[in-house]
Amino acid sequence: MPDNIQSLPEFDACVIGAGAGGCATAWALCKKGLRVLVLETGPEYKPQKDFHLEKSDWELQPFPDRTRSKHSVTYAEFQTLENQFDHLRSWNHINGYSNQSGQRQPFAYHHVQAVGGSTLHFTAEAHRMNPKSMNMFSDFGVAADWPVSYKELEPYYVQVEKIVGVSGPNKSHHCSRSQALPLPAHKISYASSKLLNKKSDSQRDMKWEENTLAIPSKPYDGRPACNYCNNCNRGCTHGDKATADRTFLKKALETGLCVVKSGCHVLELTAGKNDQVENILYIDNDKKRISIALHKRPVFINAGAIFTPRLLLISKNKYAPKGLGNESGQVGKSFMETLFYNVAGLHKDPIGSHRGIPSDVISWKYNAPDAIPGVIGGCRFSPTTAESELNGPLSYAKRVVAGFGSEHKQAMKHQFGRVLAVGGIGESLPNDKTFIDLHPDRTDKYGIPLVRINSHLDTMAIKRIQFMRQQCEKILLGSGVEKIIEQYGTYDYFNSTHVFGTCKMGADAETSVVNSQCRSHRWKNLFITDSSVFPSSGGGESPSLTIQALAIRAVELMDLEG
Amino acid sequence: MRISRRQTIKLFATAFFSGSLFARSAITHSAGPDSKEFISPLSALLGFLIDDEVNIQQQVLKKSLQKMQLDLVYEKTLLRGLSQLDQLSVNKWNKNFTALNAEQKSSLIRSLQNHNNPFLQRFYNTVNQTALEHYYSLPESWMQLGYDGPPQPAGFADYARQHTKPA
Repeated sequence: MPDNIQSLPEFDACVIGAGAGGCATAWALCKKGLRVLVLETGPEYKPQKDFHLEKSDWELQPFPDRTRSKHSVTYAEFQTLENQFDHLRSWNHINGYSNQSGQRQPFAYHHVQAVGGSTLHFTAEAHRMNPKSMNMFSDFGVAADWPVSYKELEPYYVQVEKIVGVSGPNKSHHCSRSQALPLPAHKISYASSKLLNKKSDSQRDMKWEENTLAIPSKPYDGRPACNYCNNCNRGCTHGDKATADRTFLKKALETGLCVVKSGCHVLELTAGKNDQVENILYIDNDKKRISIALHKRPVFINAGAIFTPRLLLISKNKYAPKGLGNESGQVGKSFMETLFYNVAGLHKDPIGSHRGIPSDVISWKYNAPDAIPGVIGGCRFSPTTAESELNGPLSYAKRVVAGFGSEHKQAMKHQFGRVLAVGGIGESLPNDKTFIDLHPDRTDKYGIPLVRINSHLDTMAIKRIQFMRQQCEKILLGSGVEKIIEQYGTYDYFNSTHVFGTCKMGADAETSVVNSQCRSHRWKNLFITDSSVFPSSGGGESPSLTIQALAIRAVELMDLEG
Repeated sequence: MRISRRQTIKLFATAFFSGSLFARSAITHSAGPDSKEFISPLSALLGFLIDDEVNIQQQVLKKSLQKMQLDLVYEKTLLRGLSQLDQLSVNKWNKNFTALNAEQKSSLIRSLQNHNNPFLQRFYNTVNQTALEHYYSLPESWMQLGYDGPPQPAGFADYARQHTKPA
């Protein structure tokens, strides 16, 4: 029986989820003078205590996960792997093929439920969308067009880049900007400079440039400059990485108008009369069920492109028989996952690749939707030594250096620091067999259906993956790598961090879930400001900057009278 | 009183490193015939895989024993594998693994790598990979690699130079 809470603060707007989108939304609402209540299912991690980069066994410590039961996902059966694509299988020169089955396998959905969300473990790439990739339907007959143009989004990108403190080059092959970035680009690491090998035609052809990063190159906004420890993905203990909580949420809290309740898990939303969401039901930190009556106050959902559609589909009742906001039937559809391929090799020189910033350079050469010959949807390349976790003694001992005993020891001394890895992340396009739904039988500990990921790679996706693998190998061999030691990617595994599309934006209420201002077509006080709204995923760009730009724009344009 | 294998490992681990005579005698009095036989070959095997000073080898052995207490699969793999290792050694040279010379040890371990018995391959991978994990998480193993230590709090200061170009 839900209790009504006496001790909740007064609020004008509610935000569900404190990740990239949630924190930006909260900030924008406070800027408008509104009082905000943020409900985040996960904890507030304390970097010094919860992240492990200072320990001698740091390599064995994954990013913490204290909400395992609240983010379990299930998977529908995956496709059979074909012999003709065996060269795309994940492989290590010591350990062989990691997927020995005949089927694609689920590896992970890397999702952080916490104050700060997945920005806590992200590599801090801060990318705008390529304007050329925002009209995929009109230009190429795939996915859907963005109902908002790059030009309209541009001023919001500028705002977000300032708040985050993005560092990078001011001239880029990727997109143009109306204002300079707030911070200069980071110096390129010695290892990454090998990729730039100016003596090689094919390397010059890649047009490598510094990456735009949410990592300060100089002290910024109360955060120190990065100290180049090479481990953004394990959680930044140094305090420099521009996670959503250290930027947007911090500023929102400083206004005094924002309250964050962590450990509060939203169970369902209740649709009511007059196209208003009436109620939020959640479980608080003390395991009490709390019911909040909204009384027309807006609610912003930011649980990510897998958990946001789950919440909407669960929230079915007589007013919303197909699920809240699902009048078009599109909630959960057009799911776009992360498509990537990584190749690692051993360089002939001691390049010290365990030092520096993980993804410090980037090639946008093949990023435009028509850049890859014979394939629609582009990709981008960057060094992935750190992201592959090939940046410490343990990983070398187990994945790089073969053998045992004194031979192994000698080889370790010779090879440590010589790995150079490069990865491509590519556009993911929707197909009919790839969507998010609810599991028909399995439920979580609250009795609520678990979310189910249905993922299928179509021919175009496999071609894109193939191109990425080919190109990665070419890049490595052109940069002084003598031997390929490992390759892995999303051909034989579902392995996603960037996810999109399941509550897409559009002008037409019949074929989309929210309008160009991220507001539900039907439900007047329902907004979605995470990556669920992306009509297409772009040529492999990391989505956090775009999520935040869309969020602050949605709040700025929000007109509750209409 | 019959002491379980698990208790034996725990007792031995404590005895070995604290030098407690009482614990040692408890083992010889009450334990079953094969419960401490694995320590000798395990120690010899790890010592050979790690190839470092005695006190380092002991630290790695200790970590392995601790892991055996916590991880049943690891414990079973090791016990079964060590017993088979001794058997192979006796079959070939009429001696236990611990009594082999370096060359013989090397050849025997090498034969496990691509052995047609999949269990032995798995045993080799498990014990070698775990030993390496334990060894390279010891600060003493880093200097030879030119590796300074965990990523934080030092970072790599030589990269952290101030930019001279204006923003």
